[in-house]
Amino acid sequence: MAKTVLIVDDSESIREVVNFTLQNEGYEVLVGVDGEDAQKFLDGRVIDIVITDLHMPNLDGLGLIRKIREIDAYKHIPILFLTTESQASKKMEAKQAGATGWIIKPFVPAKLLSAITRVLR
Amino acid sequence: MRIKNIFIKETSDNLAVLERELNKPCANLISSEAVEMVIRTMHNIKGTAPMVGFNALPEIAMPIEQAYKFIQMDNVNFNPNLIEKTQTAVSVIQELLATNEAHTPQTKEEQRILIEFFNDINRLKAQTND
Repeated sequence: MAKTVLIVDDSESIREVVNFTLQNEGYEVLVGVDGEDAQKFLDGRVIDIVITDLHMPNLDGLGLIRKIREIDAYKHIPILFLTTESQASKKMEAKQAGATGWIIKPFVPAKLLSAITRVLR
Repeated sequence: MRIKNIFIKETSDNLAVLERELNKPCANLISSEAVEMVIRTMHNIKGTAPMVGFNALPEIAMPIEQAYKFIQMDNVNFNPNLIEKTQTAVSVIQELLATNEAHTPQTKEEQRILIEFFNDINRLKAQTND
């Protein structure tokens, strides 16, 4: 059965890159345009992994990660954040909020796929 | 190619909104909304441009994003030329997008001056924070 990935990014280009890459690999993809929008998918349905940007309007990535971790059904799902920030402090903040790992933008599709495969193992 | 076109359209739209915001007369002060808009636009360019073949854009977007993060933290405009330079940067980025980064000697020189300007702000600010 296809794994379901929730991707959240305010950049349409990034959403398209991730969506295109994952659909080509057989993943089912849900798309949110920011943290607030993504919450509509947190209704108990099966989500195997979340990939979210950090810097977004309305509800940012850190806020979304905290919201996801408050919901029993999603307490333990992997959450990767996409970021251009390579500072250790940002990564630490996201990890403390409940993120599993990160992918630095810009990235090549192979790197995205290997990160997903690694956390889904 | 489709994703590259989406990037060009998305970034052009964001820059047009930003341009309008920067053109609003407000006694040489930049609004907090405009600051946030600059950060978000430059942040998206920095993270996405190389993935769709625009490899030179992050070079100019990075120092602008960083400078505006400092401005956001301090809530002050500490350089009187900031708005004008940001408007020029928006024009240069629009031109690079339209020409697929085909630099003319003029845009190359403009870009160099802008990068230097924003890097100066960043250096000054980093020293102040030390």
